[in-house]
Amino acid sequence: MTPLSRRAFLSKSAAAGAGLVIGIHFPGRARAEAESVFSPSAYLRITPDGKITIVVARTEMGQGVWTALPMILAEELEVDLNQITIEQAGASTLFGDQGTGGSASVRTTWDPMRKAGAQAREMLISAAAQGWGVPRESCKAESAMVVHSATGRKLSYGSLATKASALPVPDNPPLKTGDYKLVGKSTPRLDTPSKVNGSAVYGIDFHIPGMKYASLARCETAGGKVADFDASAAKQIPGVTFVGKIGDSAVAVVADSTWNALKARRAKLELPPAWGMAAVPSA
Amino acid sequence: MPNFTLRVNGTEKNADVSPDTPLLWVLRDSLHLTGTKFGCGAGLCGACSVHINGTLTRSCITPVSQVGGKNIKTIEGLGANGLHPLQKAWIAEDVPQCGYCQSGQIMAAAALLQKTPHPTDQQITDFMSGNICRCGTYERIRRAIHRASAGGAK
Repeated sequence: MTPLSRRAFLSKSAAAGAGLVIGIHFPGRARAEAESVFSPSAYLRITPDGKITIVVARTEMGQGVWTALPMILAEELEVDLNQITIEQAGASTLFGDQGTGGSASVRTTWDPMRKAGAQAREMLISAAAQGWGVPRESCKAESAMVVHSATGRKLSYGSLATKASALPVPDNPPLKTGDYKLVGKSTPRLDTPSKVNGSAVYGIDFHIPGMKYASLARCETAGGKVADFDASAAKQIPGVTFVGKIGDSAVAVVADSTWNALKARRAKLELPPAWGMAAVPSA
Repeated sequence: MPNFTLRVNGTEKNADVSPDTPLLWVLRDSLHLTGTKFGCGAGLCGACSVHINGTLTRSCITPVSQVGGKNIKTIEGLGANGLHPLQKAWIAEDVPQCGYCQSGQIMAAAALLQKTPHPTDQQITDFMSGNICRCGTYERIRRAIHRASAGGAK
């Protein structure tokens, strides 16, 4: 196996990050590109070419967070859903709790997503107003543009990105209290196209060059522990590079392909008496 | 290891794998066509469904040594020019929830429409019963098949 450096792993992971896979978010990239990318929070990036990327920090498991959470941010940002690109956040301290469950994603991400959208909108309006030399109150945001109603002048978010990124991020931007354009409206899921052509990336689909595949043989009784196992048969399977205990509840087989890992685990490890289990501790 | 030449979605592909390797893992690990999914590994759930010479086949229990020279079609190659009518119907009906089984569902539905262009509800139920969806999207799947069979109109 060719060793894969941490840097190579990070860059491969990021390249694969367009799908549902768990990638790695590294804020250093945002800093390096800070000159041209408008990113007032970890949830949003706008580049001068007009690309608007909304980052989802919860896991899409069919419950719809890839649609609902971008809707919340887009509502305050004043962009249409067909103007955004969605990106899965990797593990990062920037987002707080990234656990997904308990019907909590919308409830707990509602406030930060709204605030992220509103902060960016206010900064973009300020950038346009300063450029035009008009009061910011005379400008409004709609469909990824800042509009000066009195004169009909318009500037796209992309063209304002560099200027806006030099402005301070407001702590308490005004939030909508009603008249929602997106929130509360039935909306087709934004990830459906990727799920009908095979392009959606699930955890099992993740791939990096030279990667190995593991399969676990677990204790067949709740609370049981691996007492002993015989690795010699599993190691006879071509491509198997490692057989060993994971803690005391499972034996892992590592191989050069999923099939070889499965074959070694199924054919050899699970045949008694290849491995034994201690008695279940009594309660 | 032996080298197998496969015809996948109209293109010749090579894979160095042992002869007992299921087609599923050749598609996924060797050719990186990951739209075809691993569900049960025992031919029971339909997530791994592909077409071999036009016949709906469970790729997780089909050894690679049996498919040489045959035409293999996966979800990535289903639409000849852009999306297949079923894929468009799947989007129109917003069928997927988690989506994991949907490649297999669509491949099964495509095999159904090939034989039975205008299936009844009962024919859909009978033919699609081998494809399990844990999210329970069955009623939307049924609507999407009807929509595609009617040429997009409903």
